[in-house]
Amino acid sequence: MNTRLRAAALAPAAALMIATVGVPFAVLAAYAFQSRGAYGGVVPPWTLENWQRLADPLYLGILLRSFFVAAVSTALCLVMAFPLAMAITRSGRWKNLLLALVMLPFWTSLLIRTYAWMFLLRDTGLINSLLLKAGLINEPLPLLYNWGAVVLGLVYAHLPFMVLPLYAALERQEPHLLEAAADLGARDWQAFWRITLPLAAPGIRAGILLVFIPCLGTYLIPDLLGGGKTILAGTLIQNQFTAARDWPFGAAVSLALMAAVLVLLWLEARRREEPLL
Amino acid sequence: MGAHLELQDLAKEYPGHTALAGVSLEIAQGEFFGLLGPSGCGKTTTLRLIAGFEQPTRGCILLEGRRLDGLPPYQRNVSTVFQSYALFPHLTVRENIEFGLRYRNGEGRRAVDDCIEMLGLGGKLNRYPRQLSGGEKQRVALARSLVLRPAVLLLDEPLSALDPNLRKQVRVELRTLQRRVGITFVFVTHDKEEALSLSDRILLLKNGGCEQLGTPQELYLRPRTRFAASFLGPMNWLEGFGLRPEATHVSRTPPGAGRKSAPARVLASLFLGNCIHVEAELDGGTRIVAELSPFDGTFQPGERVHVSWREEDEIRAAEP
Repeated sequence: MNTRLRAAALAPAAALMIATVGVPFAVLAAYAFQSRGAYGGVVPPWTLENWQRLADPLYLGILLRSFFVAAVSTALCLVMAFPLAMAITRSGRWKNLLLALVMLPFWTSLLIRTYAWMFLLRDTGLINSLLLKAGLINEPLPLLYNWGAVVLGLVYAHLPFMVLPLYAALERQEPHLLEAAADLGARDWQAFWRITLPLAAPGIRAGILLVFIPCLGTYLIPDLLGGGKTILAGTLIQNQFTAARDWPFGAAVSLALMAAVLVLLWLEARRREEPLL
Repeated sequence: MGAHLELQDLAKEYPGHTALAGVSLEIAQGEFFGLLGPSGCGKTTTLRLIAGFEQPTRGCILLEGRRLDGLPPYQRNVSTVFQSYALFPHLTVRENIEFGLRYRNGEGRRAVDDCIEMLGLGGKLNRYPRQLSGGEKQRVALARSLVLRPAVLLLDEPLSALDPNLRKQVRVELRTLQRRVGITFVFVTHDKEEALSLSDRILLLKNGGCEQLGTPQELYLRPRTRFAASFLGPMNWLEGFGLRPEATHVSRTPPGAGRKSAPARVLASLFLGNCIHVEAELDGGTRIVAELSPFDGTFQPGERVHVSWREEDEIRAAEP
Protein backbone atom coordinates (compact mmCIF):
# COMPACT_ATOMS: atom_id res chain seq x y z
CA MET A 1 0.00 0.00 0.00
CA ASN A 2 1.07 3.52 -0.75
CA THR A 3 2.60 5.24 2.28
CA ARG A 4 0.41 8.32 2.15
CA LEU A 5 -2.75 6.20 2.01
CA ARG A 6 -1.48 4.09 4.89
CA ALA A 7 -0.80 7.19 6.97
CA ALA A 8 -4.28 8.51 6.20
CA ALA A 9 -5.89 5.20 7.15
CA LEU A 10 -4.02 5.08 10.45
CA ALA A 11 -4.63 8.73 11.34
CA PRO A 12 -8.07 8.35 13.02
CA ALA A 13 -6.88 5.56 15.30
CA ALA A 14 -3.65 7.42 16.07
CA ALA A 15 -5.55 10.62 16.88
CA LEU A 16 -7.93 8.72 19.16
CA MET A 17 -5.06 7.00 20.96
CA ILE A 18 -3.23 10.31 21.47
CA ALA A 19 -6.40 12.00 22.76
CA THR A 20 -7.55 9.20 25.07
CA VAL A 21 -4.26 7.64 26.18
CA GLY A 22 -1.42 10.02 25.47
CA VAL A 23 -2.98 13.26 26.78
CA PRO A 24 -4.46 11.78 30.01
CA PHE A 25 -1.15 10.06 30.64
CA ALA A 26 0.71 13.37 30.29
CA VAL A 27 -1.82 15.06 32.59
CA LEU A 28 -1.41 12.29 35.20
CA ALA A 29 2.36 12.54 34.97
CA ALA A 30 2.20 16.29 35.48
CA TYR A 31 -0.22 15.99 38.46
CA ALA A 32 1.80 13.28 40.17
CA PHE A 33 4.70 15.63 40.79
CA GLN A 34 2.73 18.62 42.17
CA SER A 35 1.00 19.42 45.48
CA ARG A 36 -2.68 19.08 46.34
CA GLY A 37 -5.04 22.03 46.16
CA ALA A 38 -7.33 22.66 49.11
CA TYR A 39 -10.48 21.84 47.10
CA GLY A 40 -9.02 19.33 44.66
CA GLY A 41 -6.88 20.08 41.65
CA VAL A 42 -3.16 20.65 41.83
CA VAL A 43 -0.98 23.55 42.82
CA PRO A 44 2.74 24.19 42.68
CA PRO A 45 5.34 23.55 43.90
CA TRP A 46 6.73 20.49 42.13
CA THR A 47 7.50 17.75 44.64
CA LEU A 48 8.35 14.05 45.07
CA GLU A 49 6.27 13.80 48.22
CA ASN A 50 3.41 11.83 46.53
CA TRP A 51 5.87 9.13 45.56
CA GLN A 52 7.38 8.94 49.04
CA ARG A 53 3.88 8.33 50.45
CA LEU A 54 3.54 5.23 48.29
CA ALA A 55 6.10 3.52 50.51
CA ASP A 56 3.74 3.97 53.49
CA PRO A 57 2.81 0.42 54.65
CA LEU A 58 -0.88 1.35 54.41
CA TYR A 59 -0.69 2.17 50.70
CA LEU A 60 1.94 -0.42 49.91
CA GLY A 61 -0.36 -2.98 51.53
CA ILE A 62 -3.26 -1.92 49.32
CA LEU A 63 -1.11 -2.22 46.19
CA LEU A 64 0.21 -5.65 47.19
CA ARG A 65 -3.30 -6.79 48.07
CA SER A 66 -4.47 -5.65 44.64
CA PHE A 67 -1.78 -7.74 43.00
CA PHE A 68 -2.73 -10.71 45.14
CA VAL A 69 -6.47 -10.45 44.42
CA ALA A 70 -5.80 -9.98 40.69
CA ALA A 71 -3.45 -12.98 40.68
CA VAL A 72 -5.93 -15.22 42.50
CA SER A 73 -8.76 -14.17 40.18
CA THR A 74 -6.60 -14.73 37.11
CA ALA A 75 -5.54 -18.16 38.32
CA LEU A 76 -9.15 -19.16 39.00
CA CYS A 77 -10.16 -17.90 35.55
CA LEU A 78 -7.38 -19.94 33.94
CA VAL A 79 -8.28 -23.12 35.81
CA MET A 80 -11.95 -22.78 34.86
CA ALA A 81 -11.48 -21.48 31.33
CA PHE A 82 -9.04 -24.14 30.13
CA PRO A 83 -11.39 -27.12 30.32
CA LEU A 84 -14.19 -24.95 28.99
CA ALA A 85 -12.14 -23.81 25.99
CA MET A 86 -11.07 -27.41 25.33
CA ALA A 87 -14.65 -28.61 25.49
CA ILE A 88 -15.77 -25.90 23.07
CA THR A 89 -12.97 -26.81 20.64
CA ARG A 90 -14.26 -30.37 20.59
CA SER A 91 -17.98 -29.62 20.54
CA GLY A 92 -18.40 -29.97 16.78
CA ARG A 93 -21.52 -28.29 15.53
CA TRP A 94 -22.31 -26.72 18.91
CA LYS A 95 -19.12 -24.68 18.77
CA ASN A 96 -20.60 -21.41 17.55
CA LEU A 97 -23.53 -21.60 19.94
CA LEU A 98 -21.23 -22.21 22.91
CA LEU A 99 -18.96 -19.35 21.90
CA ALA A 100 -21.99 -17.08 21.64
CA LEU A 101 -23.00 -18.15 25.16
CA VAL A 102 -19.53 -17.29 26.46
CA MET A 103 -19.95 -13.80 25.03
CA LEU A 104 -23.59 -13.44 26.06
CA PRO A 105 -22.80 -11.47 29.29
CA PHE A 106 -21.37 -8.67 27.15
CA TRP A 107 -24.89 -7.93 25.96
CA THR A 108 -25.57 -6.31 29.33
CA SER A 109 -23.51 -3.70 31.11
CA LEU A 110 -21.10 -4.87 33.79
CA LEU A 111 -22.78 -2.53 36.28
CA ILE A 112 -26.14 -4.27 35.86
CA ARG A 113 -24.58 -7.70 36.03
CA THR A 114 -22.73 -6.76 39.22
CA TYR A 115 -25.96 -5.49 40.79
CA ALA A 116 -27.53 -8.79 39.81
CA TRP A 117 -24.85 -10.56 41.84
CA MET A 118 -25.73 -8.35 44.81
CA PHE A 119 -29.35 -9.43 44.50
CA LEU A 120 -28.23 -13.04 44.48
CA LEU A 121 -25.74 -12.80 47.33
CA ARG A 122 -27.23 -10.39 49.87
CA ASP A 123 -28.84 -11.53 53.13
CA THR A 124 -32.34 -11.36 51.63
CA GLY A 125 -31.06 -12.49 48.23
CA LEU A 126 -32.12 -15.48 46.21
CA ILE A 127 -29.50 -17.88 47.54
CA ASN A 128 -29.99 -17.08 51.22
CA SER A 129 -33.79 -17.04 51.02
CA LEU A 130 -33.85 -20.41 49.26
CA LEU A 131 -31.48 -21.92 51.80
CA LEU A 132 -33.53 -20.43 54.66
CA LYS A 133 -36.76 -21.70 53.16
CA ALA A 134 -35.28 -25.15 52.70
CA GLY A 135 -34.31 -25.09 56.37
CA LEU A 136 -30.66 -25.70 55.61
CA ILE A 137 -29.55 -22.60 57.49
CA ASN A 138 -31.06 -20.60 60.35
CA GLU A 139 -29.59 -17.24 59.52
CA PRO A 140 -28.37 -15.78 56.24
CA LEU A 141 -24.85 -16.70 55.17
CA PRO A 142 -22.52 -13.69 54.81
CA LEU A 143 -22.15 -14.03 51.06
CA LEU A 144 -21.82 -10.37 50.16
CA TYR A 145 -19.42 -7.59 51.19
CA ASN A 146 -16.33 -9.73 51.64
CA TRP A 147 -13.25 -10.82 49.68
CA GLY A 148 -14.98 -13.97 48.49
CA ALA A 149 -17.68 -11.92 46.80
CA VAL A 150 -15.06 -9.64 45.22
CA VAL A 151 -13.07 -12.54 43.77
CA LEU A 152 -16.29 -14.22 42.62
CA GLY A 153 -17.31 -11.04 40.82
CA LEU A 154 -13.89 -10.58 39.24
CA VAL A 155 -13.73 -14.17 38.01
CA TYR A 156 -17.28 -13.97 36.69
CA ALA A 157 -16.65 -10.71 34.83
CA HIS A 158 -13.33 -11.74 33.29
CA LEU A 159 -13.87 -15.39 32.45
CA PRO A 160 -14.75 -14.68 28.78
CA PHE A 161 -11.48 -12.79 28.34
CA MET A 162 -9.65 -15.96 29.34
CA VAL A 163 -11.85 -18.39 27.40
CA LEU A 164 -11.59 -16.64 24.03
CA PRO A 165 -7.78 -16.50 23.62
CA LEU A 166 -7.48 -20.04 24.99
CA TYR A 167 -10.09 -21.20 22.53
CA ALA A 168 -8.24 -19.48 19.67
CA ALA A 169 -4.97 -21.17 20.66
CA LEU A 170 -6.51 -24.62 21.14
CA GLU A 171 -8.55 -24.43 17.95
CA ARG A 172 -5.36 -23.95 15.94
CA GLN A 173 -3.81 -27.18 17.19
CA GLU A 174 -3.73 -29.96 14.66
CA PRO A 175 -6.00 -32.73 16.03
CA HIS A 176 -3.61 -35.41 14.80
CA LEU A 177 -1.02 -34.23 17.34
CA LEU A 178 -2.92 -35.80 20.22
CA GLU A 179 -3.44 -38.98 18.24
CA ALA A 180 0.28 -39.02 17.50
CA ALA A 181 1.06 -38.60 21.21
CA ALA A 182 -1.28 -41.47 22.13
CA ASP A 183 0.20 -43.53 19.32
CA LEU A 184 3.67 -42.99 20.79
CA GLY A 185 2.48 -44.21 24.17
CA ALA A 186 1.34 -41.09 26.01
CA ARG A 187 -1.81 -41.33 28.08
CA ASP A 188 -4.39 -38.56 27.83
CA TRP A 189 -2.99 -36.51 30.71
CA GLN A 190 0.59 -36.97 29.53
CA ALA A 191 -0.40 -35.78 26.05
CA PHE A 192 -2.19 -32.84 27.65
CA TRP A 193 0.87 -31.93 29.66
CA ARG A 194 3.43 -32.29 26.88
CA ILE A 195 1.41 -31.24 23.82
CA THR A 196 -1.82 -29.36 24.50
CA LEU A 197 -0.57 -27.15 27.30
CA PRO A 198 2.75 -25.97 25.79
CA LEU A 199 1.09 -25.33 22.44
CA ALA A 200 -1.59 -23.27 24.17
CA ALA A 201 1.08 -21.07 25.79
CA PRO A 202 0.43 -18.02 23.58
CA GLY A 203 -3.28 -18.21 24.44
CA ILE A 204 -2.52 -18.63 28.13
CA ARG A 205 -0.25 -15.58 28.04
CA ALA A 206 -2.83 -13.49 26.21
CA GLY A 207 -5.59 -14.62 28.60
CA ILE A 208 -3.50 -13.82 31.68
CA LEU A 209 -2.78 -10.32 30.39
CA LEU A 210 -6.40 -9.71 29.42
CA VAL A 211 -7.62 -10.75 32.88
CA PHE A 212 -4.82 -9.74 35.23
CA ILE A 213 -4.46 -6.14 34.06
CA PRO A 214 -8.15 -5.18 34.29
CA CYS A 215 -8.43 -7.01 37.63
CA LEU A 216 -5.51 -5.01 38.97
CA GLY A 217 -7.18 -1.69 38.29
CA THR A 218 -10.73 -2.79 38.98
CA TYR A 219 -12.94 -0.39 40.87
CA LEU A 220 -16.59 -1.20 40.27
CA ILE A 221 -16.65 -4.82 41.47
CA PRO A 222 -14.76 -4.41 44.78
CA ASP A 223 -16.77 -1.30 45.49
CA LEU A 224 -20.17 -2.97 44.96
CA LEU A 225 -19.49 -6.55 46.06
CA GLY A 226 -16.94 -5.65 48.73
CA GLY A 227 -19.14 -2.93 50.16
CA GLY A 228 -16.28 -0.52 50.79
CA LYS A 229 -14.68 -2.92 53.26
CA THR A 230 -12.27 -4.18 50.67
CA ILE A 231 -9.93 -1.44 49.57
CA LEU A 232 -8.00 -2.18 46.40
CA ALA A 233 -5.86 0.06 44.22
CA GLY A 234 -8.81 1.12 42.06
CA THR A 235 -10.81 2.22 45.09
CA LEU A 236 -7.79 4.00 46.52
CA ILE A 237 -7.30 5.99 43.31
CA GLN A 238 -10.99 6.83 43.09
CA ASN A 239 -10.93 8.00 46.70
CA GLN A 240 -8.00 10.31 46.15
CA PHE A 241 -9.76 12.04 43.27
CA THR A 242 -13.08 12.36 45.16
CA ALA A 243 -13.41 12.22 48.93
CA ALA A 244 -9.74 12.79 49.80
CA ARG A 245 -9.31 15.59 47.24
CA ASP A 246 -5.70 14.57 46.74
CA TRP A 247 -5.31 14.50 42.97
CA PRO A 248 -1.50 14.40 42.94
CA PHE A 249 -1.40 11.29 45.14
CA GLY A 250 -4.16 9.63 43.08
CA ALA A 251 -2.11 10.31 39.95
CA ALA A 252 1.00 8.84 41.58
CA VAL A 253 -0.86 5.64 42.58
CA SER A 254 -2.21 5.31 39.00
CA LEU A 255 1.22 5.70 37.50
CA ALA A 256 2.78 3.31 40.01
CA LEU A 257 0.24 0.65 39.08
CA MET A 258 0.88 1.22 35.38
CA ALA A 259 4.64 1.05 35.94
CA ALA A 260 4.28 -2.23 37.83
CA VAL A 261 2.33 -3.76 34.93
CA LEU A 262 4.92 -2.54 32.45
CA VAL A 263 7.72 -4.10 34.49
CA LEU A 264 5.85 -7.41 34.52
CA LEU A 265 5.33 -7.27 30.76
CA TRP A 266 8.98 -6.42 30.23
CA LEU A 267 10.16 -9.29 32.42
CA GLU A 268 7.89 -11.68 30.52
CA ALA A 269 9.15 -10.43 27.14
CA ARG A 270 12.73 -10.89 28.31
CA ARG A 271 12.04 -14.41 29.52
CA ARG A 272 10.53 -15.35 26.17
CA GLU A 273 13.74 -14.58 24.33
CA GLU A 274 15.01 -17.77 25.92
CA PRO A 275 14.10 -20.91 23.95
CA LEU A 276 10.37 -21.52 24.28
CA LEU A 277 9.56 -23.63 27.36
CA MET B 1 4.49 -68.04 7.57
CA GLY B 2 1.72 -67.58 10.14
CA ALA B 3 -0.45 -64.53 10.44
CA HIS B 4 1.22 -61.70 12.26
CA LEU B 5 -1.54 -59.16 12.01
CA GLU B 6 -5.01 -60.51 11.46
CA LEU B 7 -8.28 -58.73 10.79
CA GLN B 8 -11.41 -60.78 11.26
CA ASP B 9 -14.63 -59.49 9.74
CA LEU B 10 -13.65 -55.97 10.73
CA ALA B 11 -16.41 -53.41 10.32
CA LYS B 12 -16.97 -49.79 11.22
CA GLU B 13 -20.37 -48.22 10.92
CA TYR B 14 -21.25 -44.60 11.46
CA PRO B 15 -24.81 -43.40 11.73
CA GLY B 16 -26.12 -43.49 8.19
CA HIS B 17 -22.99 -44.85 6.54
CA THR B 18 -20.76 -47.87 6.56
CA ALA B 19 -17.07 -47.05 6.38
CA LEU B 20 -15.88 -50.64 6.49
CA ALA B 21 -18.19 -53.56 5.82
CA GLY B 22 -16.44 -56.60 7.24
CA VAL B 23 -12.90 -57.14 6.01
CA SER B 24 -10.86 -60.23 6.85
CA LEU B 25 -7.18 -60.29 6.20
CA GLU B 26 -3.94 -61.93 7.30
CA ILE B 27 -0.67 -60.05 7.05
CA ALA B 28 2.64 -61.86 7.54
CA GLN B 29 5.57 -60.71 9.66
CA GLY B 30 7.85 -58.43 7.65
CA GLU B 31 5.34 -57.87 4.86
CA PHE B 32 4.99 -54.52 3.12
CA PHE B 33 1.24 -54.41 2.76
CA GLY B 34 -0.73 -51.88 0.74
CA LEU B 35 -4.33 -50.83 1.29
CA LEU B 36 -5.45 -49.35 -2.01
CA GLY B 37 -8.69 -47.79 -3.13
CA PRO B 38 -10.49 -44.61 -4.10
CA SER B 39 -11.40 -42.08 -1.43
CA GLY B 40 -14.16 -43.30 0.86
CA CYS B 41 -13.33 -46.96 0.28
CA GLY B 42 -12.46 -47.59 3.94
CA LYS B 43 -8.68 -47.83 3.67
CA THR B 44 -7.94 -45.03 6.13
CA THR B 45 -10.62 -46.33 8.48
CA THR B 46 -8.87 -49.72 8.45
CA LEU B 47 -5.59 -48.07 9.37
CA ARG B 48 -7.19 -46.03 12.16
CA LEU B 49 -8.88 -49.14 13.54
CA ILE B 50 -5.53 -50.95 13.69
CA ALA B 51 -3.90 -47.91 15.33
CA GLY B 52 -6.74 -47.68 17.87
CA PHE B 53 -7.94 -44.16 17.04
CA GLU B 54 -11.33 -45.67 16.30
CA GLN B 55 -13.05 -48.74 17.65
CA PRO B 56 -14.65 -51.27 15.31
CA THR B 57 -18.39 -51.86 15.48
CA ARG B 58 -17.81 -55.53 14.63
CA GLY B 59 -14.97 -57.96 14.22
CA CYS B 60 -11.55 -58.09 15.78
CA ILE B 61 -7.89 -57.32 15.24
CA LEU B 62 -5.20 -59.76 16.35
CA LEU B 63 -1.50 -58.96 16.62
CA GLU B 64 0.65 -62.06 17.21
CA GLY B 65 -2.51 -63.79 18.38
CA ARG B 66 -3.36 -61.12 20.95
CA ARG B 67 -6.48 -59.05 20.58
CA LEU B 68 -5.81 -55.38 19.89
CA ASP B 69 -9.33 -54.06 19.52
CA GLY B 70 -10.55 -52.47 22.71
CA LEU B 71 -7.05 -51.39 23.72
CA PRO B 72 -6.25 -47.67 23.63
CA PRO B 73 -3.59 -46.56 21.08
CA TYR B 74 -0.93 -46.20 23.78
CA GLN B 75 -1.19 -49.89 24.67
CA ARG B 76 -0.84 -51.20 21.13
CA ASN B 77 2.54 -52.20 19.81
CA VAL B 78 1.88 -50.47 16.52
CA SER B 79 2.81 -46.96 15.45
CA THR B 80 1.47 -44.57 12.85
CA VAL B 81 3.17 -42.20 10.43
CA PHE B 82 0.50 -39.63 9.71
CA GLN B 83 -0.19 -38.19 6.30
CA SER B 84 0.57 -34.72 7.70
CA TYR B 85 3.37 -36.30 9.79
CA ALA B 86 1.87 -34.66 12.93
CA LEU B 87 5.28 -33.64 14.24
CA PHE B 88 5.13 -31.72 17.51
CA PRO B 89 5.83 -28.14 16.43
CA HIS B 90 7.19 -26.98 19.79
CA LEU B 91 9.73 -29.79 20.07
CA THR B 92 13.04 -30.16 18.24
CA VAL B 93 13.75 -33.06 15.92
CA ARG B 94 15.54 -34.88 18.73
CA GLU B 95 12.72 -34.26 21.21
CA ASN B 96 10.19 -35.46 18.63
CA ILE B 97 12.17 -38.65 18.03
CA GLU B 98 12.59 -39.31 21.75
CA PHE B 99 8.97 -38.48 22.60
CA GLY B 100 7.73 -42.06 22.90
CA LEU B 101 10.73 -43.51 24.71
CA ARG B 102 9.43 -42.23 28.02
CA TYR B 103 6.32 -44.39 27.73
CA ARG B 104 7.39 -47.41 25.76
CA ASN B 105 10.14 -49.92 26.35
CA GLY B 106 12.20 -49.09 23.34
CA GLU B 107 15.86 -49.91 23.23
CA GLY B 108 16.47 -46.37 24.40
CA ARG B 109 19.41 -44.32 23.32
CA ARG B 110 20.89 -46.92 21.00
CA ALA B 111 17.66 -47.19 19.03
CA VAL B 112 17.55 -43.39 18.78
CA ASP B 113 21.12 -43.21 17.51
CA ASP B 114 20.49 -46.03 15.03
CA CYS B 115 17.37 -44.38 13.66
CA ILE B 116 19.01 -40.98 13.41
CA GLU B 117 21.88 -42.49 11.51
CA MET B 118 19.70 -44.71 9.31
CA LEU B 119 17.46 -41.82 8.31
CA GLY B 120 20.29 -39.32 7.94
CA LEU B 121 18.93 -36.87 10.49
CA GLY B 122 22.21 -36.27 12.32
CA GLY B 123 22.58 -32.66 11.23
CA LYS B 124 18.97 -31.66 11.97
CA LEU B 125 18.53 -32.70 15.58
CA ASN B 126 18.21 -29.21 17.01
CA ARG B 127 15.88 -27.89 14.32
CA TYR B 128 12.17 -27.40 14.78
CA PRO B 129 9.70 -29.06 12.39
CA ARG B 130 8.90 -25.74 10.68
CA GLN B 131 12.57 -25.54 9.62
CA LEU B 132 12.47 -28.89 7.80
CA SER B 133 11.66 -29.81 4.21
CA GLY B 134 8.80 -32.24 3.47
CA GLY B 135 11.17 -35.15 3.02
CA GLU B 136 12.95 -34.38 6.29
CA LYS B 137 9.66 -34.15 8.16
CA GLN B 138 8.73 -37.56 6.86
CA ARG B 139 12.02 -39.01 8.02
CA VAL B 140 11.53 -37.52 11.49
CA ALA B 141 8.04 -39.03 11.63
CA LEU B 142 9.49 -42.41 10.59
CA ALA B 143 12.27 -42.16 13.17
CA ARG B 144 9.84 -41.15 15.91
CA SER B 145 7.87 -44.35 15.30
CA LEU B 146 10.76 -46.69 14.55
CA VAL B 147 12.69 -45.97 17.76
CA LEU B 148 9.86 -47.75 19.55
CA ARG B 149 10.45 -50.89 17.47
CA PRO B 150 6.73 -51.39 16.85
CA ALA B 151 5.53 -54.77 15.59
CA VAL B 152 3.65 -52.99 12.82
CA LEU B 153 4.24 -49.57 11.29
CA LEU B 154 1.15 -47.94 9.81
CA LEU B 155 1.65 -45.31 7.12
CA ASP B 156 -1.17 -43.07 5.95
CA GLU B 157 -0.56 -41.91 2.35
CA PRO B 158 3.19 -41.81 3.04
CA LEU B 159 4.16 -40.07 -0.20
CA SER B 160 1.23 -37.75 -0.83
CA ALA B 161 2.61 -34.75 1.07
CA LEU B 162 5.89 -34.88 -0.85
CA ASP B 163 6.86 -32.96 -3.91
CA PRO B 164 6.25 -35.17 -6.99
CA ASN B 165 9.94 -35.13 -7.94
CA LEU B 166 10.83 -36.53 -4.55
CA ARG B 167 8.24 -39.31 -4.55
CA LYS B 168 10.07 -41.80 -6.74
CA GLN B 169 13.22 -41.43 -4.71
CA VAL B 170 11.40 -41.76 -1.36
CA ARG B 171 9.57 -44.82 -2.70
CA VAL B 172 12.87 -46.61 -3.13
CA GLU B 173 14.10 -45.37 0.25
CA LEU B 174 10.97 -46.59 2.02
CA ARG B 175 11.23 -50.02 0.46
CA THR B 176 14.92 -50.26 1.44
CA LEU B 177 14.18 -49.02 4.94
CA GLN B 178 11.42 -51.58 5.43
CA ARG B 179 13.71 -54.43 4.32
CA ARG B 180 16.40 -53.16 6.65
CA VAL B 181 14.29 -52.87 9.79
CA GLY B 182 12.23 -55.97 9.02
CA ILE B 183 9.09 -54.47 10.55
CA THR B 184 5.69 -55.14 9.04
CA PHE B 185 4.56 -52.02 7.15
CA VAL B 186 0.90 -51.44 6.38
CA PHE B 187 0.25 -48.40 4.25
CA VAL B 188 -2.71 -46.67 2.73
CA THR B 189 -2.70 -45.11 -0.70
CA HIS B 190 -5.02 -44.10 -3.49
CA ASP B 191 -2.15 -44.12 -5.96
CA LYS B 192 -1.90 -47.35 -7.94
CA GLU B 193 1.71 -46.79 -8.88
CA GLU B 194 2.66 -46.34 -5.23
CA ALA B 195 0.77 -49.47 -4.26
CA LEU B 196 2.25 -51.54 -7.08
CA SER B 197 5.81 -50.42 -6.51
CA LEU B 198 5.94 -50.66 -2.71
CA SER B 199 3.73 -53.57 -1.72
CA ASP B 200 4.43 -57.24 -1.31
CA ARG B 201 0.67 -57.66 -1.39
CA ILE B 202 -2.20 -55.27 -1.97
CA LEU B 203 -5.75 -55.25 -0.72
CA LEU B 204 -7.96 -53.30 -3.09
CA LEU B 205 -10.98 -51.87 -1.28
CA LYS B 206 -14.21 -50.52 -2.72
CA ASN B 207 -17.14 -49.08 -0.78
CA GLY B 208 -15.86 -50.53 2.49
CA GLY B 209 -15.51 -54.05 1.10
CA CYS B 210 -12.66 -56.21 -0.11
CA GLU B 211 -12.46 -56.11 -3.92
CA GLN B 212 -9.31 -58.14 -4.46
CA LEU B 213 -6.31 -59.30 -2.48
CA GLY B 214 -3.08 -60.30 -4.14
CA THR B 215 0.43 -59.49 -5.22
CA PRO B 216 0.94 -56.43 -7.44
CA GLN B 217 1.36 -58.76 -10.42
CA GLU B 218 -1.88 -60.59 -9.64
CA LEU B 219 -3.81 -57.36 -9.29
CA TYR B 220 -2.41 -55.81 -12.41
CA LEU B 221 -2.30 -58.85 -14.70
CA ARG B 222 -5.20 -60.89 -13.29
CA PRO B 223 -7.75 -58.42 -11.92
CA ARG B 224 -10.94 -60.22 -11.01
CA THR B 225 -13.34 -57.37 -11.69
CA ARG B 226 -13.58 -54.56 -14.18
CA PHE B 227 -13.26 -52.12 -11.28
CA ALA B 228 -9.98 -53.71 -10.18
CA ALA B 229 -8.69 -53.80 -13.74
CA SER B 230 -9.49 -50.14 -14.42
CA PHE B 231 -8.35 -48.93 -11.02
CA LEU B 232 -4.88 -50.39 -11.51
CA GLY B 233 -4.32 -49.04 -14.99
CA PRO B 234 -5.78 -48.22 -18.41
CA MET B 235 -7.72 -51.00 -20.13
CA ASN B 236 -9.06 -51.81 -23.57
CA TRP B 237 -12.41 -53.54 -23.24
CA LEU B 238 -13.13 -55.90 -26.08
CA GLU B 239 -15.98 -58.41 -26.33
CA GLY B 240 -15.79 -60.66 -23.28
CA PHE B 241 -12.34 -59.68 -22.13
CA GLY B 242 -9.93 -56.82 -21.57
CA LEU B 243 -6.39 -56.02 -22.63
CA ARG B 244 -3.72 -53.78 -21.11
CA PRO B 245 -2.44 -51.24 -23.68
CA GLU B 246 1.05 -52.69 -23.34
CA ALA B 247 -0.28 -56.17 -24.19
CA THR B 248 -1.98 -54.78 -27.28
CA HIS B 249 0.09 -54.67 -30.43
CA VAL B 250 -0.45 -52.80 -33.68
CA SER B 251 1.25 -53.80 -36.94
CA ARG B 252 0.96 -53.23 -40.67
CA THR B 253 1.57 -56.86 -41.51
CA PRO B 254 -0.62 -59.68 -40.17
CA PRO B 255 0.71 -61.06 -36.86
CA GLY B 256 2.46 -64.38 -36.70
CA ALA B 257 0.80 -67.62 -35.72
CA GLY B 258 -0.39 -67.96 -32.11
CA ARG B 259 -1.57 -64.37 -31.85
CA LYS B 260 -5.17 -63.30 -32.00
CA SER B 261 -5.89 -60.27 -34.14
CA ALA B 262 -8.53 -57.90 -35.48
CA PRO B 263 -8.44 -55.43 -38.37
CA ALA B 264 -8.47 -51.76 -37.40
CA ARG B 265 -7.86 -48.18 -38.54
CA VAL B 266 -5.39 -45.86 -36.82
CA LEU B 267 -6.92 -42.75 -35.28
CA ALA B 268 -3.79 -41.19 -33.82
CA SER B 269 -0.21 -42.07 -33.09
CA LEU B 270 1.85 -40.17 -30.54
CA PHE B 271 5.57 -40.60 -30.05
CA LEU B 272 6.28 -40.24 -26.31
CA GLY B 273 9.96 -41.13 -26.27
CA ASN B 274 9.87 -44.23 -24.13
CA CYS B 275 6.83 -45.56 -26.01
CA ILE B 276 4.48 -44.92 -28.87
CA HIS B 277 0.87 -44.36 -27.96
CA VAL B 278 -1.45 -45.55 -30.73
CA GLU B 279 -5.20 -45.12 -30.75
CA ALA B 280 -7.12 -47.25 -33.20
CA GLU B 281 -10.70 -48.21 -34.03
CA LEU B 282 -11.51 -51.87 -34.61
CA ASP B 283 -13.80 -52.55 -37.53
CA GLY B 284 -16.58 -53.29 -35.07
CA GLY B 285 -16.29 -49.71 -33.79
CA THR B 286 -14.45 -50.42 -30.50
CA ARG B 287 -11.66 -47.99 -29.73
CA ILE B 288 -8.42 -49.34 -28.32
CA VAL B 289 -5.15 -47.91 -27.10
CA ALA B 290 -1.82 -49.63 -27.65
CA GLU B 291 1.56 -48.85 -26.19
CA LEU B 292 4.31 -49.88 -28.53
CA SER B 293 8.04 -49.84 -28.33
CA PRO B 294 9.52 -46.63 -29.77
CA PHE B 295 11.54 -48.84 -32.12
CA ASP B 296 8.35 -50.11 -33.80
CA GLY B 297 8.05 -47.10 -36.13
CA THR B 298 5.12 -44.69 -36.35
CA PHE B 299 1.71 -44.89 -37.92
CA GLN B 300 -0.35 -42.42 -39.91
CA PRO B 301 -3.96 -41.59 -39.00
CA GLY B 302 -6.35 -43.51 -41.25
CA GLU B 303 -3.84 -46.27 -41.93
CA ARG B 304 -5.20 -49.85 -41.98
CA VAL B 305 -3.51 -52.02 -39.37
CA HIS B 306 -3.80 -55.29 -37.49
CA VAL B 307 -4.40 -55.14 -33.75
CA SER B 308 -3.08 -58.30 -32.12
CA TRP B 309 -2.53 -59.87 -28.71
CA ARG B 310 -1.65 -63.13 -27.00
CA GLU B 311 -4.55 -65.13 -25.70
CA GLU B 312 -2.88 -65.49 -22.28
CA ASP B 313 -2.84 -61.71 -21.90
CA GLU B 314 -6.62 -61.48 -22.09
CA ILE B 315 -8.09 -60.28 -18.81
CA ARG B 316 -11.33 -62.02 -17.94
CA ALA B 317 -12.87 -59.68 -15.39
CA ALA B 318 -16.31 -59.95 -13.88
CA GLU B 319 -18.72 -57.02 -14.19
CA PRO B 320 -18.77 -54.38 -13.08
